[in-house]
Amino acid sequence: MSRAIETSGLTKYYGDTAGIVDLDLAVDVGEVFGFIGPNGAGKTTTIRLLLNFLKPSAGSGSIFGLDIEGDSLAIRSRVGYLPGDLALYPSMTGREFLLYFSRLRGIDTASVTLRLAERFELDLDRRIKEYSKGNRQKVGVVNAFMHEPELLILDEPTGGLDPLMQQEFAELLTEVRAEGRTVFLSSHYLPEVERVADRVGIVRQGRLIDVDTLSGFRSKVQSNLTIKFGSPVDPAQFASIEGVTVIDLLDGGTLLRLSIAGSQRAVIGEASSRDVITVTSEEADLDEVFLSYYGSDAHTDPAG
Amino acid sequence: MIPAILGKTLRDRQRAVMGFGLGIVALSVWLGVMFTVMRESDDFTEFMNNLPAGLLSAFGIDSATFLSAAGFLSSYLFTLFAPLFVLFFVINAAANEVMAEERDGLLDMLLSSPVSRTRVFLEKTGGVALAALVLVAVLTVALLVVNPIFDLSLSVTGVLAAGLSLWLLGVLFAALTLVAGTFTGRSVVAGGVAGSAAFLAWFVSGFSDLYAPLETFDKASPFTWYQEPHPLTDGVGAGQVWLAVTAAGLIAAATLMFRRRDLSTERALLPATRITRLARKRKGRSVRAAWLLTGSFRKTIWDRRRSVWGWGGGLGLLTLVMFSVWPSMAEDAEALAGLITSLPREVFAMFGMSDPAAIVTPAGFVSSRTYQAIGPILIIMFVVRGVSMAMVKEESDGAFDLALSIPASRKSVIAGKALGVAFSTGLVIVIITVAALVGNFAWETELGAERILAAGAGLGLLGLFFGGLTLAIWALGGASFPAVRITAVLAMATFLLNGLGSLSEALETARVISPFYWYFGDTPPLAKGFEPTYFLLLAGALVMGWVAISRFDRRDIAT
Repeated sequence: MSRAIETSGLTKYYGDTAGIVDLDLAVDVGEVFGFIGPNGAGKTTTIRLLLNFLKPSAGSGSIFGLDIEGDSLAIRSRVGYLPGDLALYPSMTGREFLLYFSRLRGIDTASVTLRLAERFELDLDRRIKEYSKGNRQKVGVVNAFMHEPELLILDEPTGGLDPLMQQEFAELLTEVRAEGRTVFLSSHYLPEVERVADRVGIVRQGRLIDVDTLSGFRSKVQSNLTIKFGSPVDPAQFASIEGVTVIDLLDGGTLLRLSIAGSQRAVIGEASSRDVITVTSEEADLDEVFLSYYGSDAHTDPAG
Repeated sequence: MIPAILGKTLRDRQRAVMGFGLGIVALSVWLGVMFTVMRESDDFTEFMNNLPAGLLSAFGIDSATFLSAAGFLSSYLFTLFAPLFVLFFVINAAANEVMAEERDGLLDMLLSSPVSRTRVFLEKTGGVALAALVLVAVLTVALLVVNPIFDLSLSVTGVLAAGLSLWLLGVLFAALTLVAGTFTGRSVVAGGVAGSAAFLAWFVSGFSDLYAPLETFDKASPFTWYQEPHPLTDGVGAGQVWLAVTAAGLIAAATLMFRRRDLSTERALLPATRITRLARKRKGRSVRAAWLLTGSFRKTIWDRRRSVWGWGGGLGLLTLVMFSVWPSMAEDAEALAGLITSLPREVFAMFGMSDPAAIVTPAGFVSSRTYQAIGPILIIMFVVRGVSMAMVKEESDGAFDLALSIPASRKSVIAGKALGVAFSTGLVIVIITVAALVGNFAWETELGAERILAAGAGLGLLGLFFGGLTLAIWALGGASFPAVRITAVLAMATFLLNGLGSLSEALETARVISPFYWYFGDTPPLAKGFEPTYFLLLAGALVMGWVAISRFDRRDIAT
C-alpha cells in the first residue's frame, strides 16, 4: 500500500525547546490516522512542518511521495487543512471567504461548498465576526473539504461543534475514507479520534511513543479480574502466568483478584480447571490506556 | 482578472485610502487658499526677497522658491503633510497585510492553499503599493484641479513628478516595514522600525542645513532623494532612481527572507542559541515588572510601558532639538521678527500659533513645536490610542468579558484602566518636562522651571481631555461606534477653530469652546504659568470620564 504521509527523523527545535523530535511516521493512503497527545506535545508543530510553515531542524518528510519542503506547492493542492487555532478574515462573509480560498486554489468549488454548508446548517451570508465559535469552525471545515482533497489534515476539528454536528462530522470522515481518501486527525480529545480512526499514534513531549490500531491498543488494556472459587487456591499458580499480577487473596483464599495485561485467556484456562463460582472482569476503557501514555510522571523518558 | 490576493489587499485598504485621500485633498485645497492669501500680501513678498536663506530652512522654506506656488507647496505639502499621510498609510498597511496576518494565523490559512510564499508576499506588497499609488493619484489629481482655480501655475509634469517621487518614498518605507517585519515576525516591531527610520530620515534631511554634523548623513536619507532637487519644480532626477532601486532591493531582500523563515514564530531568522538567550532575558524582564500585574490600573500601565518610552523618547528628543537650534535662530532674531510680521497670520494660525510674534522668543520657539503643534497632536494620539487599546479594542475583541468576569465592579475595572492611561500619559509628560529642563539649562534659555512644569501640565491635561472624550463616546456609543475617529475629527476641528478664531470675528466667540483655546489660546504655553483655564481641561476630562464610567456600568458588553 502506498504512503500518504511519511517522515523520517523529522525534528523541530525552537531554541532549545523541542517541538517534535525524531519523528518517524507512516500514514497509508486511505486510512484515518489519529494523532493524539496532550497540549504542547508537538502535534501542531508536526502539522506545520508537513505544510512547510516551519522548516525542519533535521530529518525529512514526504506526502504522496513529494518532499514537504521542495514540493510544498504540489502537496498543498492535494491537501485540505483545518488549523486548530482557526483564523478567518472577520469582515468577510462566509461565502466571500470560501470564494476567496477557492479562487486561490484556482478551482470552482461552489457546488461542494453549498452542499457542505447545507449539511452543517451554516448560513454563508453573515459576516465572520458575527458568527458564533461553532459557526466559525464550520467555515473552517467547509474550507478544508470543499475542494475534495486527497489528504485532510485536521487539527482538533470538532472544537466548538455541538454533538449533532460532531456526529455529522464523523460521518463525513467515514465517507471520505470510503472514497479512499486519507485523513490525518490530530487531537487531544480521545472520543473525537476513537469514533473514526483506524490507527492511532500517541505523541508526548515531542516524541512519538506508540502507534497501533485501536484494537491493538485495546489488547494492551490492563484489566482486573476477580474470581470467586468454591475452595481456597494457590495464588502462585496464577502469578506465574505472563502479564498477570496478583492484587490480593481474600475470604480465606477463595476470592482472587488479578491484574492482567493483554489477553485473559491463560488465566481463564487456569481457573476453569478449578472450582470456579463467579468471574467478574473490569476492563479499563481506552481512555485509561491513553491516560497512562499521557503519563502522570512527566519526567520519565517517553520513548522508554 | 486581478490576482486574488492582490485584489483582497486592495479591498482591505479601500476605506483607509478614502479616508486618507479625503484628508489629503482637503489639505491641498486649504494650502491653495493659503497661498493665494499670501501672494496678495505685498509686505511679505518684498520682505522675503531680503531674508537670509539659512534661517528659513528650519521651517522647511527655500527662500528662492517660496514665493511661487510650487515652492510653497513643496515646503508645506510635499515635505511635511503629504509624506506624513502617505508614510503613515503605507507602514500601517504593510504591517497589517503581512505581519498582523501572520500573528493572527491567517498566513497559515492562506498558505495551506497551493500558492507559493513568493506569490503571497509579492501580491500583498503589490497591493499595498497600488493602494498607495491610488492615494498619491488622488492628491495629484486634486492638485491638477486646484491649479487653474487658484491660478497656481504649477507645471503638469512637475505635479506628476512630485506624485511619482512621493509614491516611491511610500513604497520604500513599505518595503522597509516588510524587511523589519519578515526579520522579526512582529508587526509592532516592523511599524516601529519603519516609523522611526522615517522620522530619522526626515529629521536628517530637514535639519542638515542648520546642523553641520547632520550633513554627512544627508545624502543617505531617502527624504533627501525624495525632494532635493524638488520634483515639483525640477522634475524627476537621480533621487527618484535611488528611491526606486532601494525600494526594489528591500522588497527583494524581504521576499527572500519570507521564503525561508518559519511562520508565526518569533525571531525566526536568528540562530537557535540567540533565541534561547533572548527567551531567558524575556523571562527575567517579566519577573522584574510582575508587580505591575495586579489590578486593571497597573495592568494598563504594564501594557503601555513600551509606548511610554517610545512616545516620551520621541517628544523628549524633539524638545531637546528645539532648544539646541534656538541659539542659531536667535542670531537672526531680527530678520525672523520681520518675517513674522510680514507673513500672513493665517499661515501661523494653521499651525496653532495665533500670536506669530511670539516665535522670536525662546519660549515661543520651543512651544511652537513641542507644546503647540506636534506635541499636542502626539500626546492626543498617545492618550486616545491608550483608551482605544485598553478599552475599545478589548471590548470588541471579547477580552472585556474575561476582565469583567472577575469579582470586581465594572466601575472599578474601567476606572482602573482610565487611570492607568492617565498615569502613563503623566509619565510621557515627565519625560518631556525633564528634557525641557535639561535643554533650558544647557542652552541657557532662562525660561524658568515653573513655566516648563506648567506647560507640561497643560499639555498633559489637553491629552486627558481628548482621552476622556474618546472614553465618553465609546461608553455611550458601544464597541462598534467609531469613537477614535470621531475624537480625531473633533480634535482637528477645535484645533483649527482656535487658530482661525483669532483671525475672524465670526469665529472669535466660538473659539472659547475649543480646548486648544483653554490650553494655549494666543500665548505659547512656555511663556505663561499655570492658567486657570487648565482647570477647564481637567474638569472636562473628569466629567467625561465620570459620564463614561457611569454609563458603561449600565450598558451591554458587546462581543
